[in-house]
Amino acid sequence: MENRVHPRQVLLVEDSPGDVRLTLEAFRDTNPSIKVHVASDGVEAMAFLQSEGTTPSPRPDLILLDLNMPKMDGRQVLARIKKDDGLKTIPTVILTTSEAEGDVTASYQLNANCYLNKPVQLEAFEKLVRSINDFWLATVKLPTQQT
Amino acid sequence: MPLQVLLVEDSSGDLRLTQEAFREVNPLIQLHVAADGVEAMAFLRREGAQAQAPRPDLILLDLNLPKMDGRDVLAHIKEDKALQTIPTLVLTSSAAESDVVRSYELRANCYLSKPMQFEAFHDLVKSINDFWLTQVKLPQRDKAEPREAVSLLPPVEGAAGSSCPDSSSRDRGHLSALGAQVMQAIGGGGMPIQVLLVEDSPGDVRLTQEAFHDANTSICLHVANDGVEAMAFLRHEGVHVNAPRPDLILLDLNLPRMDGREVLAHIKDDDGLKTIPTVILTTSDAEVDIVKSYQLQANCYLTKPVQLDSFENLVKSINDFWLTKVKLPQQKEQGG
Repeated sequence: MENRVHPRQVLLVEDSPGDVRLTLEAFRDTNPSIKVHVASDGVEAMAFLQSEGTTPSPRPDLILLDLNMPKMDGRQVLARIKKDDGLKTIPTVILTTSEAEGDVTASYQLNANCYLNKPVQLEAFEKLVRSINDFWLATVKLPTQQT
Repeated sequence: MPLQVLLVEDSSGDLRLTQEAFREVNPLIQLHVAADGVEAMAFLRREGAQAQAPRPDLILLDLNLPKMDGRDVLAHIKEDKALQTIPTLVLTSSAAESDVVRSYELRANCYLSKPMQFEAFHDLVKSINDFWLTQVKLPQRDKAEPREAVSLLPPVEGAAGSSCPDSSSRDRGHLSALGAQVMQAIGGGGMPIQVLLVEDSPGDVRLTQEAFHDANTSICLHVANDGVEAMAFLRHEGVHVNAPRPDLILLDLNLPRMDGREVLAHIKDDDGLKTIPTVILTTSDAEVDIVKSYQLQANCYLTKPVQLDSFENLVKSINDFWLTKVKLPQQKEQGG
């Protein structure tokens, strides 16, 4: 779609190692040029986004955010992202096993860009990652990197 | 109800292309068109001639529009508590970086550039369908039922209680293309669906029981005649110690002892209960009741129709939608 020099950066915020592995593998199969960064809880996600580490972290093009996580949960991370003028334009996709309507509604109210349920089946999970890639990373016009 | 998409587009060529592409990709989608921003807001707010307009599940919004442009429309949508959860996709020929950034700042759910080529345009519409209308869990839909008042029905004795079917399996009906993602078994294999009806009018209780019986005999309908009884049922108190957790609650608003608004607030404040879909089913068509119910996180608001046939159709549609298509929250583990 665009002639960008830098590969797409995705931040995956996920505490389940199994889901992290599945997601990484699915992205590798779908589009190996994508760089997936992993934060395993909300605190780590915010540190990444605010580039608090010793080496500055890249600004992600897309954030995949689980809801139920240790330390700071996905709802809080989402609220912080969408209140931060520097971060709020980054598309944030909720990717969770929660199918509670309260979570769906609250996520949209907090300006999640969309809400996806993690499928249980391996093939459905891979298909979902492919559709995230095809839609968000190949079809959607993302805001420009500011770094 | 088919998925409702509002297309806000002033170019008749693009309009035609989008309509044709949707017709090919997913003919079940109902596409509504507003040719400028003022018309779009009138549709969304159901003003004037648009009083019966459905709430769209998805909005496709062009940026450069006559009268009120797409940026203003977007700002209005995302500032409006009643509209802000509707996914709004900017679909424009502008590739200006400032438009992209501005749109995301205004909380567009995503930004799409209109391709020039016919095939690319068709592919884009297909990808919108495949992603947003197939994969994404959309926010709770409401239903644009005709607003009518109900006439008083003759009272029936002994309306409270439970009626459970003998059969232990449920016909889930056929799954629509959309629903394949979200429509899976409810609460596991052979359990009947538990519905709690909170209703004080014996006539309405009787009608609802009969309509459910005709629509789906595997439903177990429990009745609470006021809000206090409803909460006792939900919290397994007193005689309700063995009450099952309902899969769906049908809640009247005007009830003795504790009214439906309070019941709704209690349910949605309770971590153990708030995921139970709660459908308001009331004679009130006051806008303040509708708004208040959604603010209290009612899952949808239905007005009881006057006519017997309409009432039966409404119950049937509750069965077809909520008990057949919607993925209900999993049953929590329960002792009994």
